Amino acid sequence: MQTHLRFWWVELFSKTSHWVKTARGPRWGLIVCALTCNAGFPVLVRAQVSELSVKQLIESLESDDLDKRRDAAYELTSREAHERAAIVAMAKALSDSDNQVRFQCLLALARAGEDSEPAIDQLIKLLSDRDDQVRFRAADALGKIGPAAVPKLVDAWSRFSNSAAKEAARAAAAIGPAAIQLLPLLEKALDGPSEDLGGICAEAIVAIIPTDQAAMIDIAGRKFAAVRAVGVTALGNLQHPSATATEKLKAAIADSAPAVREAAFVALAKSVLPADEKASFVRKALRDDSSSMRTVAVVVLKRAGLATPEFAKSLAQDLRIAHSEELNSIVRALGAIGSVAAPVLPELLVVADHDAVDRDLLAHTIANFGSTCIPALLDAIQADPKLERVAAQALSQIGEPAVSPLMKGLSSSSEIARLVSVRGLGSMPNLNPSAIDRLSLCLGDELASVRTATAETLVAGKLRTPELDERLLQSMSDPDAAVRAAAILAIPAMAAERKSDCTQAIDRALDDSSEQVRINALVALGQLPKSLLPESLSSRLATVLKLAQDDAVLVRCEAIRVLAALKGSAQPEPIIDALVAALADENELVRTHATTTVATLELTDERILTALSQNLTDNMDLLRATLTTVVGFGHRAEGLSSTVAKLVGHQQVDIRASAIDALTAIQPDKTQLVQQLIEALDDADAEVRRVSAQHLGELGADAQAAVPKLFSMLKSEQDSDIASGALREIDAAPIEAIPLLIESLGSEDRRVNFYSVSLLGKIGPPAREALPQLEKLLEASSSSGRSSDFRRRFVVEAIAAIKGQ
Amino acid sequence: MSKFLSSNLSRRTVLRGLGVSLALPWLEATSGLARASAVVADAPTRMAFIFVPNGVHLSQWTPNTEGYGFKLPFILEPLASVQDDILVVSGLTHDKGRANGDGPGDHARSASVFLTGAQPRKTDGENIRSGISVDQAAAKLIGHKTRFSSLELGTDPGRNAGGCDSGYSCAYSSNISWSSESTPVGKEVNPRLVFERLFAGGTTQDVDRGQQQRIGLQKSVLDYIAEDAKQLQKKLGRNDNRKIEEYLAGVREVERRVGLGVASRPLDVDGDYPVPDGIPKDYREHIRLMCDMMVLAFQTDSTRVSTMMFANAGDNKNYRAIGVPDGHHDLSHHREDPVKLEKISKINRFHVEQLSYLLGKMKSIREGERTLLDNSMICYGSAISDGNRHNNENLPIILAGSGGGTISTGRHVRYSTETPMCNLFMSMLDRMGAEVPFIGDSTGRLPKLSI
Repeated sequence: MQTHLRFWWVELFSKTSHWVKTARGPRWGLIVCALTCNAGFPVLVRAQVSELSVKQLIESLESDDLDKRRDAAYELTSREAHERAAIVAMAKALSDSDNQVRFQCLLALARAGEDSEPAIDQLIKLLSDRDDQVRFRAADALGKIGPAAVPKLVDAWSRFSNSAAKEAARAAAAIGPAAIQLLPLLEKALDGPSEDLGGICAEAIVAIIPTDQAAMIDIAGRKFAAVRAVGVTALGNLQHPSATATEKLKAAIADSAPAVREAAFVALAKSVLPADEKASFVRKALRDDSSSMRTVAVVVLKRAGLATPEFAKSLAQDLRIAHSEELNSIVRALGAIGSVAAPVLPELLVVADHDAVDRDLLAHTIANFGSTCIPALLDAIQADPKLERVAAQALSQIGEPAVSPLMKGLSSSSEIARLVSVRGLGSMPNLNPSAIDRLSLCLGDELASVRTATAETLVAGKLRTPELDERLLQSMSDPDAAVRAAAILAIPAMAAERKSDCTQAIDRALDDSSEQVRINALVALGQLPKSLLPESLSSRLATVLKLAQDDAVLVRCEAIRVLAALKGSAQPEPIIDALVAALADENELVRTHATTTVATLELTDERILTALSQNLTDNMDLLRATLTTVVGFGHRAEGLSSTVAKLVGHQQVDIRASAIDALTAIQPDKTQLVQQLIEALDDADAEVRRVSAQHLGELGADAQAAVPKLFSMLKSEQDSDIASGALREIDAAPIEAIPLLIESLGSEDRRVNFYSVSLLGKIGPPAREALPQLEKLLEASSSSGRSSDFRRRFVVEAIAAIKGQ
Repeated sequence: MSKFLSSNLSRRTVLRGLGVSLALPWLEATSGLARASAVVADAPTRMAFIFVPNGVHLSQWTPNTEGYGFKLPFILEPLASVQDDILVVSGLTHDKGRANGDGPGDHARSASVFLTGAQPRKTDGENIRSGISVDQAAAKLIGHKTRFSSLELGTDPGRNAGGCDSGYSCAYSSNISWSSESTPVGKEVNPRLVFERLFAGGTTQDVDRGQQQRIGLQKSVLDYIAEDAKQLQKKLGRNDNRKIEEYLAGVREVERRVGLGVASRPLDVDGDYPVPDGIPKDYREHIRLMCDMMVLAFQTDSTRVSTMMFANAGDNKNYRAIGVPDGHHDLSHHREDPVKLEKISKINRFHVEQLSYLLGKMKSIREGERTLLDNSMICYGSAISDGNRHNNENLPIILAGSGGGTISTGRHVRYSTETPMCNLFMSMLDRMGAEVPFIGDSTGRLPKLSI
């Protein structure tokens, strides 16, 4: 947080500090800064680079020192006006070996605008660069240079690839009307070779001739949807469209491509068409196949002046004939219309039963109708109890105006009215304490359904008062199992304050005859605050372990899952026994839970390992969990290596990758492991190759045997990064790789070249036959002047290492 | 205690007490009751940027379809209640977050480039260099209109000295706001301190005395402005009175949470920076409190520009509270492991839940015919796309709020590859009335923000 004043000080302080530290050393920096700030007046301080003249910056741009070149490029970018000499120097620097220098010069040339004319040739060349960013920036610079670039773009057009042509078209669009010479070429590309090029060319044409309606109509009728969409959008943006243009837009609303229909629809909604005509378009759009189109219709509805009771009525009619997702769009549109659509509530409720209707959306729409719909809604639920949840949700969203009718509903003789009132009030944000108190009395309702709904709502809403806690504790002994199951979930929230009561309640629930109550009791146990959990769980361990052998599968799962919370504490033998038993459970879900718990508890008992070995089965979840868990056993799981090795050939990618992880952890024979990992480098999936390469890298010099294979991957665009990372980590090569490395010294690929040099150096004297070529490389890099210091340093080091120096 | 006398309320009206100065939220009385159009025109546009580290699990982030009516993927599901108020933006690039010859250090670069669009100089010394960030560009141009030109928030303490990531200074990893190319603007991580700054007023002595008195007597700032508030409420209409009550209740709630949220969090975040009193031990609560501060600051027009780091770049904290005991950064290198992917998606979703909390709060505050959210632009995301690949194109970005009705939200928009993220910043700055010739590596404005 700072004020304007602080900026001034901060900048002054920082620049002063920087300058003085650079010029006089750090101690002087501190002293001068302190003086400057205490003096309280501005001192003009500039960093060194910013004091250089343009001439000096140009010289720096050609320096062998990378930092100097970069600083010069950054400084030139920040200068506002550019001399021709600077432009020429920056144009030359576009072929610098350093990306930062190149990109910064591209940026500077773009910002210099038409002054950058001398760079046009180089920029056009860069439109064909293999780097997306370079192409993008070159097009931007050409666009900003403006008309002067047009003739050369025309000349070069026939040589452009698809990607270069796209960037050239973008440049043309930025130049605008002055790029008229490019028009025939752009027009030719509208129908091919590719749709994306056509779309960009269409945008360029519209930018070059922005008022030519005939051209737009032509574009709107072309082959590719992307092209037609541009034409339709352009027609929609016209201030005064001709009758033909409007007709074209109307026709486009039936286009086969959603993007075109959407553009046409937006244009028509914005237009001056009569309201009834717009209403017809919106109704049609609400029933369109495209979800985007249907949503646009909802969005533009208000803009088109259609938020009226009449339009709501017409939509209500459409509800009767609409299908599936269309229904939701119409419901949404009614919500967007708001309170004036309230009279159609009965028609809206008719579709509430429809499978395709989103209940949350329906409730939201009803809430948007506002408080006037409350009586009708309460009447409706009496006639159709299935509306209970939707009505409750809508009423809770209506908020304050619904509180009074809902409070009244709590005392109603009707079950459905009480249920709606409980759920509606319980979901209301910021419910006042007296309403909460009244609501909690429903825990004593004569009907179990109301008591259950009340407990569920109070727990879900995290509503708390001392009286409410007391009643919920009582509900945990309710005669009805559903009520007990719902109430027991309140334990985690009140455990800290009502420890003793909660302890008793949870003990009862763990022993309950109802499966659901036992499950929820275990869930509640697992959710206890961290300060209580270990103690509570340890003291109930015997019960939990018993539940781990419960007849009900889900109870067994939950009991096993809860044990994971004991991580970090001592695990007595019975836990291991229980987990071993669970790992051999007849049910695969229980076995999977047990495996995950073993991993969480980081157990490495031999019996567990034996049990795990039985779970390398066909069940994918279980297999994944087991492979992940055996990693923790390390070489002790050596006995599983042949089974795991087979899984490296599994049909599922993630299993193959997990198997490689597991194999790396458990296979003690490094030679064999390296061989297995090398084989996995041939996997069809890039992720598996990446995992294998990474593990080879982790093995360091022990994985030297993989160097030839990794070198071949270096040349692949897809695997180059993967291989590079592994080679960097292995950082060694076997003597047998010397011929390959020498051969690779001549590679034009900088990475291949670099690793050849580096690894030959690591081999040392045995690689002496590489010396002539290395010395040649050194000579070449010295004479190039501007080539990387970095590379030269590595060649020098490699030669020294081979010579034993 | 000052008396509130004027019947013509100005936007600068504040409620005062000893060492306390409570700015007012937007009220009908401050904007001219008569015309709705005047009401809308009167509400200022606000702008905030939220940074999350380590990228996201992109396939669970990116909607399958473009345009309106897209289905929210798993990570974005918590935004269901505000789906109509957000724009999911795909395809943007931060080229200067790439190595560009500087080798490893993607995390440090990702934070420093997030709002600057400038390549940071690779150094762990004092000669740091980045660029002015979009928030600070706005603060310099429009900051004079509000009490604070900008508000920088976070949850992790940061360091501006020493190296944090492969040769990059910690200043790069810990900051997203830069007031000049060499000056990061430190963030505040203690909600209590932010609260005190937002509501402190009067002379320094008054502020100190008032603060000590309040803490000693366990009183609320509201107790000190009660008299002023009473005077004010007599002069306001029903709507404004309700608004004031809601606002004061909100302030009291935040104050309570700041006060009661104190815990002796173990000093494990950063050994060099002990966690002071006032920081909640629960990470979720910490983020939410900071979000509340941002909302209060925007609501009272104390500032129009804010930034927030949900965590520092490359952060490796665990998320046990949501069932993910592993470190975030470690998990981000998931290698397509489905278990890790599930966990990283959970973390991404957790962050989005906190964004949803912020947006929900902003949406609940009415400003005339619009809401505070409508009058804002909240840019949320990361400068790393996929934490596993450390790539800087196709960034995960959400722009929430319609910038005063100038952005057509509710859509998923995809831009062509390599479109600079800074072009979005340019469009946002225009809407803030803070036009600049360029920011970072921008090439222009972003099209398609409105239909």
